[in-house]
Amino acid sequence: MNDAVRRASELRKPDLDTMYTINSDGSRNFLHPADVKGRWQVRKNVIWSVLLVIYLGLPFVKIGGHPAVHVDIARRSAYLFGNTFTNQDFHLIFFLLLGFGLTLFVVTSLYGRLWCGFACPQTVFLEGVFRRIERWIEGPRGRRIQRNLGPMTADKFLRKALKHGAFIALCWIFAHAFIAYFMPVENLLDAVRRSPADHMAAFIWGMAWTGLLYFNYAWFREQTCLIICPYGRLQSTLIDPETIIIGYDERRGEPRGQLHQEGTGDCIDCLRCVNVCPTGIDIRNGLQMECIACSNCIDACDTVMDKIGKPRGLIRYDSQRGFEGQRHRLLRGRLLVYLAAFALGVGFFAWRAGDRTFFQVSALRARGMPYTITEDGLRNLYSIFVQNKSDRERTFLVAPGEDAVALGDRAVFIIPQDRVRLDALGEARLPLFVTVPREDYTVPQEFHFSVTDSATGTVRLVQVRFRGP
Amino acid sequence: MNEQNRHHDENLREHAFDGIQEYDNKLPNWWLWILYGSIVFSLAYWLVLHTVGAGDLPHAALEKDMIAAAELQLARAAEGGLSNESLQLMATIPARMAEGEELYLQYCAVCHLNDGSGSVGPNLTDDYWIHGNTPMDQHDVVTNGVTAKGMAAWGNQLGPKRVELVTAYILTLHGKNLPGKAPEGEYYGEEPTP
Repeated sequence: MNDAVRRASELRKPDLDTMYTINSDGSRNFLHPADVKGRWQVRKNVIWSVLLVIYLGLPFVKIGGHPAVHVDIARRSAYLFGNTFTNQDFHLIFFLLLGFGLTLFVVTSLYGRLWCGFACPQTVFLEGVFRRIERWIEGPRGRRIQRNLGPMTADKFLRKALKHGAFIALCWIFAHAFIAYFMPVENLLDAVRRSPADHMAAFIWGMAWTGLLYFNYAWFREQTCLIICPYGRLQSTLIDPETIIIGYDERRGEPRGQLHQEGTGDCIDCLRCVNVCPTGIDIRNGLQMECIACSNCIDACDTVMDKIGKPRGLIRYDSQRGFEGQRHRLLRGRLLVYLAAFALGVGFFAWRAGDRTFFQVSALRARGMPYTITEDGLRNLYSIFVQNKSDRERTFLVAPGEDAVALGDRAVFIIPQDRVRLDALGEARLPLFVTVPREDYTVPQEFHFSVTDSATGTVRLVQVRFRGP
Repeated sequence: MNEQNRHHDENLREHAFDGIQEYDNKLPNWWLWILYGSIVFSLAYWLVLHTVGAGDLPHAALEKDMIAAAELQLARAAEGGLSNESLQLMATIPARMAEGEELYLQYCAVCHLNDGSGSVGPNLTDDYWIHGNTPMDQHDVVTNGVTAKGMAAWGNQLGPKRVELVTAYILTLHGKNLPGKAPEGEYYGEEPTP
């Protein structure tokens, strides 16, 4: 950054025409949000503490012998609160993501970006962990800015080294907690104790995620929310004048001016709301794409209002209609449509997930000839694919279905493997032969083989077709 | 809104749609560096992998991995003491062959008949073999099957010990030359070539 840009950036205030965190030459305008206290901060701290435990602990909690939430990439299966999903269930992920997405839609249309400020891992870890450590080591906003502008001293070097050391150590831990969602915890803990040479791939993943998290939490920060995350960009299409958002009461605050001045509103232009903002906006310009609804500005302004003896709520949660002094409506068409779509998506997921079978069968005709002619008659070769989708070992019984009598009573069924034992999530291809005397054959005949799960007695029928000349 | 904050008119583009105008602010430098980095990477990737031919393209890398995996399996089988010689040795131990025969009658005879003369499956008593004639070749066919031709894979169902027994039993059938299913595959002669 050259000196002219630096001077300009020091004078600069957030506006609606540019992104405050990017200077006019494209360089980064690094934010130093000020400390803020208040009731919303207390609530956030409680929520974040719970979420930190959940986000870091889920892979360690076992339900039914498997981690509560786990994606096993090597075996192409996933465990979700005691349910096992295989690659055959992959289509269900569409409904799961749709459910997540539409939950966000419903919540956003009701209460704006609650997710961003209160629950998103980016915020929970950045504001709840990393920013806090930065504050402990480098001090409050004013001192951080002064030190960053000043020359490198022993004190500055030590504080920076300490901070980045702590960040890297934490990122290493968080990266492994993240990998635990994809790699069994036992293997992970074992791998951590061994030499990297024993498990190069896992080691590279661990280091790459550590590096990525460190880059994100030490430097990139709000850029993730502002430029990379797609959800924030949807804000303007998801909210309407009835949505509860964080806003500034223009009717009460304007025109801004000093305290006790004649003809001014309640806003004394102290810039507290701007200084505490973690994404670098001035909420008094109205709701913006950058706002992650963290509620810092509400607490900051309430504190100032308390001090100058004015009522709280100059910046508050309200709807755009509410800020205009009108009544707020909760129910409206947009919300009902989102709710209906949400119910449809979640309902379909629940129905399909509940209706899953724990084994799957399909028939394949053997490649090559459709039939062979032998001394005994016409012979067809089939191959049946059986997949055990449950998480325990099962034995499956294969037999001709009841409608196989249509082939005539001289038909011979040769089933080399009529009992097949499959490991959890195991699969097998079973050959089957059917021979029908030449004179008994007239037209292609469809019939079924039955596959029975010996543990549950569930029967699946698989259709095949007997062919001849 | 505070009018004093609107001071970026030099970046305002001329076009307007429905009264909406846009700014041409400079892109973040980090964004541009990702773009330049991607261009350099793609050029390097193209040159190194496609033009020079150093390193494997994904498909070739996969094939190499698959071959390495097959070799690893073979090595593991050998570690367990399995070889042409060991299978032939097993075929000479009567107690073991009694077990092998029991397994054969239970699992194999449905296609190869009790005496091995073949019905749906090929004749095991002649000097012709479809998938190679060494004991280890037979072991591989029994373990992994040839599903496309109707031979089931028995490795998972029987487990390694019983697959060895039944393979050794099949070696004892060879040379009986029973009349049955017509010969299939290639002629290998009377002795198995270990």
